Order: sequence, then C-alpha cells, then structure tokens
Amino acid sequence: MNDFDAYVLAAWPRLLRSAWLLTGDWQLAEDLVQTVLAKVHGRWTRISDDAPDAYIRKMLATTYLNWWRRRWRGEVPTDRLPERSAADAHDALDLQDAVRRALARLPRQQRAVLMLRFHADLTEVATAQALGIGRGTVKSHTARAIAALRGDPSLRALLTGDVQR
Amino acid sequence: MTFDNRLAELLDAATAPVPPGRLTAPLPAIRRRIRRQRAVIALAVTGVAIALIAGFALARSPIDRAAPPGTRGTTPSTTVDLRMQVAWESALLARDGRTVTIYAGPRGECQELVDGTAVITRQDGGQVTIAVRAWIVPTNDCGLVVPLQVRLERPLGDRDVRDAATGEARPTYRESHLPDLRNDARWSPFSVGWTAPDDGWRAAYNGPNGSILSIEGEPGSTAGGDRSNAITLGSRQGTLLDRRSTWAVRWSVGDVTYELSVQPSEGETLTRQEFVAEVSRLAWP
Repeated sequence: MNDFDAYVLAAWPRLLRSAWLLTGDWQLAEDLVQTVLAKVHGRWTRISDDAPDAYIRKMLATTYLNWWRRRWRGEVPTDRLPERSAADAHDALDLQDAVRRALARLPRQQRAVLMLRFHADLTEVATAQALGIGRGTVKSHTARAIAALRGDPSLRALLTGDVQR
Repeated sequence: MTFDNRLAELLDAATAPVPPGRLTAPLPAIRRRIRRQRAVIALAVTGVAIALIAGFALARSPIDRAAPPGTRGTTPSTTVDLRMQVAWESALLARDGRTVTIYAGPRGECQELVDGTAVITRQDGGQVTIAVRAWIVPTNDCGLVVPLQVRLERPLGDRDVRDAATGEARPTYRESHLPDLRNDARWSPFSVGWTAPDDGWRAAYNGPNGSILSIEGEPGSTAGGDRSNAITLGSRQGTLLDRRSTWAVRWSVGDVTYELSVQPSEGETLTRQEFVAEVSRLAWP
C-alpha cells in the first residue's frame, strides 16, 4: 500500500464528516471527498509532508462552492429524509438532523466558512485565503452563521447556555 | 468552555454518526477517478500540442515557399483552427441588446468542451449566424454547457440568431424579458450549469435565509392558462403555478417561455400570498 492510499484509509472518516457539513448528505459528501482526493493525488508528494488534512479541507470547501454552482439539478435543497446511520444513539441522530437542518438554511459560503473555521480549525486569515475572500468577509459570514445557528430553537440551548463569547 | 469550542464540539458531535457503509474509504472508486482524470489531462495536452504543431507548420510552410524575396514578414500569416465546430444549444441576449451569450455543450457521453470560442460568421438585416469551435474531451462533468460571448456591431433587434453548424435559428432568451435583479440587494446571482442537449436557459440567485430564486427559459409559448391564477408582471401577464411546497410563475414572450420560482430554505414552505409578494417586489420590465 502506498503512502497516498494509507492516508486515504486513515483520513476518510474525518474528511467525510467535513464534507457532510458542507453538503448535508452522506452520498454527496462521499462524492465530494472522492472528487477532491482524485485532484489531490497528482500533487501528493508536495502536500503530504505538510498537514494534508488542512489542505484537503480547504479544497473540499472550494470544490464544494464551485461544484454546487456547476450542478444545476443535482443539489438543490430537498425534502427527502437524510440517510440514517444504523447507530442506536438517537440523541446523536437528532442532533445530526438538527444541525443538518440549521446548516441547510445557511448560504453556501457561510457553511464553507463554518466548516473551515470550526471543524478544520483554520484561522480567519487561513480561511480567507482558502476561499479567496477578505478577512472581513470571513468575520461577517461567521457572525451571520452563528447568529442563524443561535436563532435555531433546537440548537440554541446547546450553543448558548451561560457561556460568554 | 468558549463559544468557539462549544460550536466546534457541536459540529463534531453532529457528524459523529456516519452510516456504517460509508466508513471505509472506497479506494477502488478513487483510483478509477484518478485514472480518468489522468486520461483527460493527457488527451487535452495531446490535443493542444497537436494543434500548436499543426497550426504552426501549416501557417509557416506556404509563406516560406511562396513569399517573394524581401516580403517575408510582411505577408499576413494564416492560422488553422483544428478545433471541432460544435452545434450550440441556445442564446441569451443581454440588456444592452448587443452582447450575446451562446450556450454550447457536447452531445456525446461524458465529454466536455475545452477552450471554446464563439464567432459571428454572418450578420445581415434578418439574422446573425454564430459558430462555436472547441476541443471535445472526455470528462467527469458530463456534457455541461459552457457560456461563450460575442458582441454584435449593432443591437440584435428582432433578427434570428442562427447556429453556423446547422443553419438553424436557435432559441434566444432575452434579459429584457426578465425582472432586473442587478440592484436588488436581497438576491445575489450564482452560476449554474446544465447539460446538453438542452435548448433551455437558466439562472439562479441566493436569497434571504438560504432561499433560492431560479429562472428557467424554454422554447415555445404557453397560452393564457387558468384566469384565477393570472398575475401581472410589469407590462406582462403570467400564470401562477402550484409547486408543492412553493409557487412559480410562468410567462411567455414571443416564442419563448420563462418560469420563475422561489425555493425556500430546506423544510420551509412558501404560501401563494408570500410568493406573490416576493414576485411583486421584483423590478419587472
């Protein structure tokens, strides 16, 4: 097994989770991760020594934004139920569903910013560079996305409580 | 715990339950994509290289042989375009009346157009003929149409827009038939793609709270419809259509028909009254 394959096998679940935050659908998430990994393969030797996860998550975000624009019929919001895990943790599934619904209400750039800032743990500057937007835009996207999530009744309690930002 | 940490933990927790069938990386599928991508790149590079070599050779040889002494360098060089002439799908005339966007796509399975250009090959009082040339290469994004622009010397007016490949007049949509959203801060456009063969046209806009406004054009005219669903759209009349969780409005101008719909954010619905209010806020011609 080569270095790239070994990385893919190990990183797959965490990359898939990042992609799900963008797409809200496991099948689309898998398609997105596969698309990005196929792109990354050609430059693997250059990125493998330096935090490939961060690099690939940036590509997930940019590919998602570009990808969504280009596919007219495949990825409009839908009423169909999400694919359910076989896990028996109903609370976790309820939370997943609540987050999916809340994220689905956000514009795509806000979702991309949220994923990069709070899941990939990128700084505002790195997020701005990854998406080709200004740092101020990252700030405003973040603020709006957080306000929207806070305004969601099913997430408010989880996100606010007595914690001061 | 800071709010940022709390949000990060929430996102981690929300993504924890992955369907069991998707937990293992599909390495064979990824390898197939990599192979397909390599094939596309190799083909594109080969095509460009052949074009450059052939074009250079064909352009240089006649000059070298035929140019009289002392005139070399002053003879206009010729170039040979080895790209395929491609039949195109539809056209969109901009509000300026002179900028025409041509939508062209490959008809074969899993191909795309690369390095495409549109040129006017003929224009007179009755028609404008436009040719599209491009490389056709295999791809993962099968059959996507690409927009290519030309600018007319004078406004199109009521002239036909024809495809040089077939000689046929193609459906021509006009921004002047549509609501003007350029100054409407609530709606920001994003590019949408569709696949050939398809002689329609589409546009979409992100709106408040994750809603999406989309406009589609298609050839043909729809007559009147149910009067109880009639709606005034500026200087035109349209018909309201019930689209399950939302509404749409349809109107015809000449030989094309447009449909505008507003897709609310996931899980939301839009009532007829809300949709009519949205439509009324748009700047209709």
